[in-house]
Amino acid sequence: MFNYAVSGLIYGGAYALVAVCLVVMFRMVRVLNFAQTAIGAIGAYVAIILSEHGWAYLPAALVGAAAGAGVAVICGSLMSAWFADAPTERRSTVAIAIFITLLTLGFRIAGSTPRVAPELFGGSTFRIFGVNVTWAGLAVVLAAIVLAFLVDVFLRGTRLGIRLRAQSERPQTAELLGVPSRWLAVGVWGVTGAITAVGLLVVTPSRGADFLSIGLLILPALAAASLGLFRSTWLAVVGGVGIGIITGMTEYWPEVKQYQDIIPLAVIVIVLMWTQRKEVWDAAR
Amino acid sequence: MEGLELSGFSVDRAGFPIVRKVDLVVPRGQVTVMLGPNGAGKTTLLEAISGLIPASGGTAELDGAKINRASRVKRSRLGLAHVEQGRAVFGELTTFENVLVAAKDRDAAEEAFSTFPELVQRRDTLARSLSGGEQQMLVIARALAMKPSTILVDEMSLGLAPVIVRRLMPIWRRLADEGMAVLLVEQFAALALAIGDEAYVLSRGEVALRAPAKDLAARTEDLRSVYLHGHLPADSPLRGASA
Ligand SMILES: Nc1ncnc2c1ncn2[C@@H]1O[C@H](COP(=O)(O)OP(=O)(O)O)[C@@H](O)[C@H]1O
Ligand SMILES: [Mg+2]
Repeated sequence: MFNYAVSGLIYGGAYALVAVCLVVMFRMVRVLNFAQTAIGAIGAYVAIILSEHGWAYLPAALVGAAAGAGVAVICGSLMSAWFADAPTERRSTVAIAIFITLLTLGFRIAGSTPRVAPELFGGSTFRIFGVNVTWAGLAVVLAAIVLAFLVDVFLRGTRLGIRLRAQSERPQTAELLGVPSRWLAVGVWGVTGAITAVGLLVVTPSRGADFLSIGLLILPALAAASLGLFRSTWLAVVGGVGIGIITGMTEYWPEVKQYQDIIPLAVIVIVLMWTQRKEVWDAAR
Repeated sequence: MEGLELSGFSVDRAGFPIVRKVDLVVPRGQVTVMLGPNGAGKTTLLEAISGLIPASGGTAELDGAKINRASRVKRSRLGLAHVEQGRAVFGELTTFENVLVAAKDRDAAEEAFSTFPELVQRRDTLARSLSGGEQQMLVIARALAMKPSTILVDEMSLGLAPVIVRRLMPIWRRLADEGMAVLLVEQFAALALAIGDEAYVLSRGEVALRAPAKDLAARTEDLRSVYLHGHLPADSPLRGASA
């Protein structure tokens, strides 16, 4: 069973990567970006098709990341043009519309046949304490941790990071001070789009490589990000890896496995109940 | 002209004309005071000058260049700063980070910061936990960190203790003397008029009166009439100067 848990690392790392992106989008761009994985799925799909045409992993992944960034920048520009001064609720609703549009379009174009996705490091493994670990799983979990760390350092310690935090709180006031809020926001869309594409590309060989199932990975990612209420990158990593490991463990019991997709929802509900409990307590004081 | 010049400047809000055909000059080296009762359209006017909302007619020129269609960021790069009403600090940023947002570099931030010794010991405090007076100082320091040539200040004294207002007012005089164009918007007149050069009174979106600040300061009862009725009393000596 331990082997199964460890096999979940690769899901966990990917969920964590996407979840960190969701937290960054929520905090810096004021949008709960339901479209995050639909955008990333396009990038991942581009990489998969390139590798079917004989491209090596790295260049295919880079082009895929660029495609993810490109689609994200288009979405971000639309959001900036039409909903720049709108509240988070409205912007998030727009994100749902983008999610459905991209998923429908992608499904029409890509079809439902699963593709053969390339495996990072050729799926090679190493043994530690008698457990098989894929290099890809280890790499993607480390990548998620490094990303969470970099996001923290960047937002606290650099001038650009400080300006990003400022514009997230008061975009118009920031503009009056010379901060190009809209461009910064579009930049965040682009960077998170690229990272999401790569995260999804890494996890596709294990989770099925048709467009729809890649796009629907928004569910575990949302659940992971909700652990920190979309505020903490670190809790998003913990949430992602945790959900990944639990998902891996369910492979151990075939009768539980069919309910695998409920896990993220269960996590969301439990987190919401937990935090609400605290709020009630606060209010009662 | 060096500074800000509006002609026939109008602003609508939700389809209603709020500011109507305002002519206004804010030259460098002067403190131009704009008074007017609550709801006269002062904030609306400033927001259209800095580009927070669009103007519906007329022109705004900054140092001779038309800025009507420029973005907010572009206007700030041209040297325009806007200290908004209500102390718009970035609450989740520290005091010093607030200043850093606006500064070209650390030196500019340090310099602006040192204008207010009161803030130095609050340097690493989150801006939301500062007092009202400290927050007002912070938004001023933040605007100064941009090294603007023209600055719009919206109701700085609102909600502040008189002692703090008296501490802050002379700053505008000094900055104007150093060559800045200052547009000081206030609802309560005395302290602003004391340091001002030219004064305008806005009433129901129109310039009801324009006069030298010291003349207006000497006749505050006439000012009250403008606030209440939108025009000067028939026997006021300020009538000749009226716009
Ligand atoms: N966002 C808004 N939408 C519609 N009307 C507004 C808005 N803000 C202000 N107003 C109206 O514009 C008028 C002028 O307001 P304002 O510019 O804030 O005046 P002042 O700053 O002189 O007190 C008021 O009648 C107010 O009701
Ligand atoms: Mg006002």
